[in-house]
Amino acid sequence: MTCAEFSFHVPSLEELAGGICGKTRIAEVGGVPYLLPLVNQKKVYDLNKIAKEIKLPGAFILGAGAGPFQTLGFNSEFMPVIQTESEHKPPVNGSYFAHVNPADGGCLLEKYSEKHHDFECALLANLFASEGQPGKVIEVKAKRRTGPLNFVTCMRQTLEKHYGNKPVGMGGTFIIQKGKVKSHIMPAEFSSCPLNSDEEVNKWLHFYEMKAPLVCLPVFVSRDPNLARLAQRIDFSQGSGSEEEEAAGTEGDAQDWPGAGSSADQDDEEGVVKFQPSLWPWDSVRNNLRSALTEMCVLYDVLSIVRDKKFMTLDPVSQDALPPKQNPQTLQLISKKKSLAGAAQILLKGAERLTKSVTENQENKLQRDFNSELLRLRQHWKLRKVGDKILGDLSYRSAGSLFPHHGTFEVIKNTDLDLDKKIPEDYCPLDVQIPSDLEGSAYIKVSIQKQAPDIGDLGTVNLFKRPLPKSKPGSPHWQTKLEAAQNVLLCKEIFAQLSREAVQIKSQIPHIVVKNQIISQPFPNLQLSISLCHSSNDKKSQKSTTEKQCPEDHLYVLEHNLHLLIREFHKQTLSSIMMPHPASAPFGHKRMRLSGPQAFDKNEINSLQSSEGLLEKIIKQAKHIFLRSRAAATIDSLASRIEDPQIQAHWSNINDVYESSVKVLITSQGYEQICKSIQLQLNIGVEQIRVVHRDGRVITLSYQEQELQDFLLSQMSQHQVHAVQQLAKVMGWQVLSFSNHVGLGPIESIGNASAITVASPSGDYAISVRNGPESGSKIMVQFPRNQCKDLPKSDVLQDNKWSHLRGPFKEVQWNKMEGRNFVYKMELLMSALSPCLL
Amino acid sequence: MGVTCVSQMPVAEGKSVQQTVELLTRKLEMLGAEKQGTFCVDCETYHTAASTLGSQGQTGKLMYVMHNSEYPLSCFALFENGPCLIADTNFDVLMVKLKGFFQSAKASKIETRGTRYQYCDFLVKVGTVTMGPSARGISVEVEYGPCVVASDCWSLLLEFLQSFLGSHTPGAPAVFGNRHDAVYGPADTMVQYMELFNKIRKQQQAAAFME
Repeated sequence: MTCAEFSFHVPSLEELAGGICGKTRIAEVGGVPYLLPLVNQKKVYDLNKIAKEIKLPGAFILGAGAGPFQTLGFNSEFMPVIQTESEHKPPVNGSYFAHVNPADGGCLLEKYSEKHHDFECALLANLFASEGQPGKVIEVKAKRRTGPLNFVTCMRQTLEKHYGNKPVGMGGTFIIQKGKVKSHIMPAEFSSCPLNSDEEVNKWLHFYEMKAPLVCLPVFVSRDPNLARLAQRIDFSQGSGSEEEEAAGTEGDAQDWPGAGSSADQDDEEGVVKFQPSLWPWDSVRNNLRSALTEMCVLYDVLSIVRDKKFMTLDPVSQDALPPKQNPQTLQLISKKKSLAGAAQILLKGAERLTKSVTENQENKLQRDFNSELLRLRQHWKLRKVGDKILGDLSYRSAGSLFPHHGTFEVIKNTDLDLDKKIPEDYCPLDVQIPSDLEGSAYIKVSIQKQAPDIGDLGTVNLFKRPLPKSKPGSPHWQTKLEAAQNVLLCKEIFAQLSREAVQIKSQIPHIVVKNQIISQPFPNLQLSISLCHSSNDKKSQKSTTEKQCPEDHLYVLEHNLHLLIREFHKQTLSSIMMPHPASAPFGHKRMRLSGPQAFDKNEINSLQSSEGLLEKIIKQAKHIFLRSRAAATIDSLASRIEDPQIQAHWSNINDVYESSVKVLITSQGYEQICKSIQLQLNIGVEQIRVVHRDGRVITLSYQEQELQDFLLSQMSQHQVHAVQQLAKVMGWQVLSFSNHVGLGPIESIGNASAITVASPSGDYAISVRNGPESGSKIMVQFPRNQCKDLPKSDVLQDNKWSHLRGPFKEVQWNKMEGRNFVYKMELLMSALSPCLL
Repeated sequence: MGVTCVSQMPVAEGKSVQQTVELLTRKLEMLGAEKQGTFCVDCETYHTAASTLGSQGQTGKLMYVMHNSEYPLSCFALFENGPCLIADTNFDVLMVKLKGFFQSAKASKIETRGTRYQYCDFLVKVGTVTMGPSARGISVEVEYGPCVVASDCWSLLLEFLQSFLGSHTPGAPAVFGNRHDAVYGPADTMVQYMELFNKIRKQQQAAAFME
């Protein structure tokens, strides 16, 4: 059939070519794998180049493919109708593209050359190329659909039936003249999620019903020429790889006609041409699979038999028979095993060592080692090695002591241990030997006694044993031993220092040093005794001590202060020795050295040189303590003895060692607010008591307790009179006269009597009070003359007016007055004498 | 440590130095002052050695090395109108070493000795100034203990001085004006003594010239 003219609905087609013959060929460009499951946007093609590649430049190309998204900017269906570029002809593009109308979602067919002027396409294209010459073509006419297969598939199957294994390509155009066609258009956007199944692809695509007439440009091949070859290349001995090889073939040029162009076509083929074994390309694949199935079945049977262990058992085959492939795995296993074993060994060794050390520690706790004990000893005490002996130092020399006792102890190894016997719990391999004169326990005892004991008793009184201090839990035996020895040494040093000073210091009453006792008399009839009590552990001293148990008259404060003072003394010597000073400067501490260049005057230098000894200080402290306690006792006894004016003492809690103060208030019960005239501040010093009166007077009292007592008594008697004065103010009485120290009347042994006279508001009555510390109070009341009946009629005062004069005084029998105290009685008296003002 | 005023008491007419001093001390004892031992202030003059002087024939400065029994551990070295150095008593030993620079003027030692009286807060020292064997004058030093600022207590001092010096009460010492409101120190006392000694020395020279 001659195809002279076709009435194509492609207007330019006629102009382009006279026909579709002459050196015809088809080209499969790209493929579906570039579109699905995800798009590969690198795959873009130029049709002019393709024409050159298929060795037909200037070819007339028809076909179908994907639109050039790289120029259009969106995805589309492409229908290339192109006269490609040749030497004597410019290229002409008569292609169409169909895409989804973004405005209404409908199908839009446009001419490509109206928008762009390139010759590109993308992703995939099935092209039919020819010289465009008129020639012979095949005309196929189809009236209607007869089965499920589409028109192109039917044509392909027909070709395949006819040509068999020989692949034949076909291209051209057909026209649908009548009816409707369901066709798809790819959407403008590529799918962003992978499309793995047909369903997903169909979802992605847009389907439209298109009405005739439609011009179609099909290009197809009867059979993939590579398929049979590739199917045979599937290696069933290996597990994988065949797919890759198949995929490798997808990229191909036109000459090779690569087969993976349309896998859908393959499926179609398989489904249709199933029962043509001789022609079928999957024959070898099927044969292989079948044999594999047979083998699997056999293997399964064998395995089930083996599992029963009735008819067959499995024995390991010799090492050589191992397939070479398993070797690296076993090697790996072995090496892993080895390294694990090595690690386990190290761990086990460590664990063993740990348990060993733990047990050793436990043993050490029980059995102390001499060297470790020595180490602990060295942490606390100074040690040195002399010859083959280890000597230690427990003296306070390094702290500044000048006591000549060497204070050395020896460290010895405790070896007298019976190995057969059980080790006692307090066993210690290290022992210390202290000098015999430092053994036992010692302390300094300070006490104040009222009466001087007989000289014969001196020195032995205080020798009684004190129980040895118990060792602290956890501290070793030698520690307590050394501490005790050091304490003995310190006590000895204190006592030595004190006795040296006692001999040196000149005092009015010389200090006595007898045996282990220093006696001094701070105040007459009072003796301060400082004694060193040292009890060694031998029986002799124990004997003598058990009999005499001294009463506990310790002054612990002073004993403590003695220790503090000796430490201070140590510190002083240490600083004066150690301090660096210029070679030309005089010795002494820094202030002393500066006294020259800073021109200190005599007083300042004297204050620097205050070399008050330990004994002087402690005597001063003892004096103060004694004075304080005696003042307290005096005030207390007065307070308990005398009830009427109450006496209150407020002691301050914090004192200096040489001074303390007390505030004394004298009040009347119930009238504290009115009568607070007497407030005394007593500053108790070392030798004397300074009394600061409320009005600023300062009275110095000596250590004699009588002085304080008398003073307080006189103050109390004055208080009563002061109270009357205050009361008179409140009651509206007039004070006629007031005197703290009355010169008249009987003389008081303590202080002076004080007196007051008050007159009633009306002036009729007067009360006169005289109060002495010793004589007590005497109260007189003066009546008006007219009330005195027993008054003898005077010859002089005849007139009646004289009767208003005040008459004589009458004494009130004070002890018969009602009232709980003086001021209350006075108030009652006053109110009785003042007329009721109602 | 207080403010001190040093003054010269002229010898009463027709009486010896000794008698005048006795007169003064009796007055003090009458006032109720307590005798508290003796005191001594001495002064030695050094002039810079000829070898260290420049060739222009400039005269060397005089340096006075003084001691005061009130400051028993100190030694004072003063220049006229110049700085005052307070040092240890070891300074004397140092001066022997410095012979090359400072040479002791012969027979220049001048000192005052006397009795120290305490009258409440006042410390009074009446001394006889001697140069060599002969008595040359009388020094009266009054110290007021509780104060350290000279200007604050000068009137008090003056009043006290008037009470026993009578018409011979001195004016305010020059050192008081030097540092207004400043703390009075031992060096100020020594400067006053130096001035007193210089004055007595000049009087002596003048007297010798007159003769």
